[in-house]
Amino acid sequence: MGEDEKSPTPAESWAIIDAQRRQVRESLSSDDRMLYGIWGLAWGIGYVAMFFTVGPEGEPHLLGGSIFGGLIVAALVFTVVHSERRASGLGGAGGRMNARLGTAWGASFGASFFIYGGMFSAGLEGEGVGVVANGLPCLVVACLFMASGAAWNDTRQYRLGVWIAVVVAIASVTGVPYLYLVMAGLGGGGFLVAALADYLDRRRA
Amino acid sequence: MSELDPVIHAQARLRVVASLAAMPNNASITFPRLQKLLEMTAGNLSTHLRKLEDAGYVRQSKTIEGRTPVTYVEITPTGLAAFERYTAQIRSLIDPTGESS
Repeated sequence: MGEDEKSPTPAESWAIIDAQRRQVRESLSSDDRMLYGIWGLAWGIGYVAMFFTVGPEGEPHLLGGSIFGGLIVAALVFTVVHSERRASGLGGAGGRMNARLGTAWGASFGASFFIYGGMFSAGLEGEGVGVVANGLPCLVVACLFMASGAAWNDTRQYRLGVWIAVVVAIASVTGVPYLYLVMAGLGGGGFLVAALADYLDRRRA
Repeated sequence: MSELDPVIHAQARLRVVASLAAMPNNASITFPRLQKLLEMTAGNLSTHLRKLEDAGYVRQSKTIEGRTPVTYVEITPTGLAAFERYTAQIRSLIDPTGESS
């Protein structure tokens, strides 16, 4: 216990405080460089694949859809595993709020699938399908990013949510097939800029 | 310059308080995860947590998850204020002019 009770010098105290802050961040907080980076690549590559394989009537092709879907699922699995590992053992009001936000993602995407079901059973066809099928889940992402950013005072996530909402709006009025390029460049690019900003912040800290 | 808070100004307790003050989104943390993070023995960590709890700087709450009892540890508003005060004092001791901030 003697060493533990030792009073550090001011410089040692500062070094301890700094080291613990870094350790907590590296062990318990999600690494936004990785998360935003992976989603940026998934959107960037996935939407470009959709653009180059789109049919003459604007209908998505199986190959492009599979590449896009595979990348999104891979990014989703990585996000869930990474976040769960980092947040393991954390609780309290923060943990509860995270759990509720996690449920909000599941509930929103679950509801989106029912909207798709209703859309198809109502006989919606053609270009409109592509616009709605893309816009709806992306708007969910935008809204939940804005909500999480506001809840946790995470300005970067909040701004990214606002940016994605703007990109979805631009993509929706652009229409198929160029909406895929808008999503790849501005949407995927937005994620990559956020990843870069987090990387630079960590280097400065 | 007032005296440094003796409850915080000890190597091991400073590590505990600095970690709890840095928790993402003010979360609490289970005892085993905190122990792993700090690489301290359970007995040692318990002793320091008790001292911090006696000073009102830390709160420990026991709960049941599934069928397992779990202890969560978190810093209190009093503890956070004391740590912020301590950090400000250390900063001014290192850099009395405040030029680097």
